[in-house]
Amino acid sequence: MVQSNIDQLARAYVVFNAGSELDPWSKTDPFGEVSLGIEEAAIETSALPYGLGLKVGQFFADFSRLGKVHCHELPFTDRPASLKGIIGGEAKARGLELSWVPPVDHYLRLTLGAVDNIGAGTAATGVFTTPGGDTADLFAGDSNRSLSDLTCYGRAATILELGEGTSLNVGIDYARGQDQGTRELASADAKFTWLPDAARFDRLEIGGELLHGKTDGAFGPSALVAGEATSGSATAHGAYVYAQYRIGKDWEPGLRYDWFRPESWSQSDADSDGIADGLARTRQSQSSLSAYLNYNLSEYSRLRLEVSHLNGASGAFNGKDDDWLGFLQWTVTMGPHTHSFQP
Amino acid sequence: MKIIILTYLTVLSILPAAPLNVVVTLPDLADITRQVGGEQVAVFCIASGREDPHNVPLKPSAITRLAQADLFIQLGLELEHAYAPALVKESRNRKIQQDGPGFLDLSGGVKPLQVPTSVDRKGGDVHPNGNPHYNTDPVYGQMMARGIAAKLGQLRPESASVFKANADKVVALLQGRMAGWQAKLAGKNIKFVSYHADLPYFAARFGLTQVGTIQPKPGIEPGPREIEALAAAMQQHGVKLIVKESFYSERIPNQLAKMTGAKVVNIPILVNGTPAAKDYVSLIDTLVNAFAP
Ligand SMILES: [Zn+2]
Repeated sequence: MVQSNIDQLARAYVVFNAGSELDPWSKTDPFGEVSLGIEEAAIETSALPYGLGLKVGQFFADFSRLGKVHCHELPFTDRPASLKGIIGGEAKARGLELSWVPPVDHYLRLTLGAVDNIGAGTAATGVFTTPGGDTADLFAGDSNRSLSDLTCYGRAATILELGEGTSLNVGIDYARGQDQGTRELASADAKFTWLPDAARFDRLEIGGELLHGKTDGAFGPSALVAGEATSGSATAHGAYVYAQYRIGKDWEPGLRYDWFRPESWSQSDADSDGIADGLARTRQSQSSLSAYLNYNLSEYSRLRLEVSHLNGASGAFNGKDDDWLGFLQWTVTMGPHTHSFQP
Repeated sequence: MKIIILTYLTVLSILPAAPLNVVVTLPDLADITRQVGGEQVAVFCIASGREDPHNVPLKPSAITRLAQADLFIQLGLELEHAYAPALVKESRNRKIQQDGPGFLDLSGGVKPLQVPTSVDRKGGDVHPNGNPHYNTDPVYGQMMARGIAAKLGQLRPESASVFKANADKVVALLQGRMAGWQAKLAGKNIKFVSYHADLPYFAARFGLTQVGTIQPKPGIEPGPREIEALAAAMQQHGVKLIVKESFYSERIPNQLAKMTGAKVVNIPILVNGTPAAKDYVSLIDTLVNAFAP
């Protein structure tokens, strides 16, 4: 992260992310491509009165609990399918965000934002399969974006201190905007933290989130079937919950359950004449149970190991109903390591 | 005829000004600020003193106190970098942002020890600007009292002389105890090992020799080879004392004690770190007693 103070109350920052995926079973190119990207480039100011703050630029929108968390700072190695599918990866956005911490005795943060989009669009709610098995966009894309295509969002979050070392974070969010059709997102999240002893590093964390996504609009050209609807809506639901315990300074084992139910649409061809004659929607849930282990080499470097067991509808994984997935990740943080405060 | 005499008694009471709201990071600063500010300050402390001062939980109650604060005080030299900047920023209180009138970093007058020649954070060094644990040196304790008095005097000029007089009392108390502390530790040729590098200022002040630290670099846990090398150095220098900061595990200190025959003593490095260290003077007392029981 690179940052500089423009004056004493405003700060500009850029977050770079370099990553490489290693695939030991690939014979041609086991190291993959090293990717370097600018994740955030924004100016934020605390010069506003009454506990207001403003951020302008490209940033991770203050939306959902883990949507705005950089991949390497997630509690686990990979982003849960529910979060990835409904928000569309990280909550990356371009625009402006106003947040307010009212000067009252209980901590509360309210956020309002107006951005181009949150995450990577409507993939989860608009999956469409042609009779040939190809996927396409269900909804008609709107390439001529205008100011009315903005996505507006809001979040309310607070933290309840339940006792010495025990706290509960809760938050709710809502977003609505034009992308491909009218996109709507809603989520509710909670995180419980317990520090058994201030003099030790041990820490229990239980967190989870409920997610809802919906897109409503005109169907794209490949989804149009004679005599069928030309517009409609698609929804997706998901939830994840995780629990992890930090043992001393080094080790942190955890478990995560993720459930995701997107809606998929397909063209059907009842008389097998090669011409689509119907439109069918299906909802198939998929779930995964993951066990992970984080090892902190130091404050700036950690190793993470994760094994996931995926469950889907019949034949979802190359003809099988389930599959296994493993991750090994090493993260290094360089530059000033300041933790930001996220309610 | 009736004469009505009305008497009005007007009492103009001089109401004492509301106390200044002060938020400090560490209990050492809380104790000194209360002594200097007296009834004119209401002090809230972020850390309990029992945890690692580098790693204090981010509590929302600290934000609401910071939002209403007239003054924020930190030890500085990046000791509090993992939590204080995030809390101060989230409070959105313009007075206490860095360079604001209500922001006080007390490390300005410190001559930092152990300044790294290259800041390579990949090694996990949590002391990038030099060692920040100067609160263990009671001479710097005097400096802290004077610095706090000067800042409170700026914020409330009508009471500046009161704050200065109170700081003089703290300074006199610490100066008065100094001879006794020095007498206990002088000429004993004390050699020691600590878990973390948090005693260089204390050791320099009282002429103690630190032979090493269990952490090879601040914030980095040792491997088996580093433990063996430290045990060898301890035996070579005849080190008989391992001091363990209260928040670290006993495992490695006990292992080293077995290997070398040295004794392990649990110490506070902040006020409230152990029950005996109930204020700043008793913190220094406790530390001195750990080295010269
Ligand atoms: Zn330290």
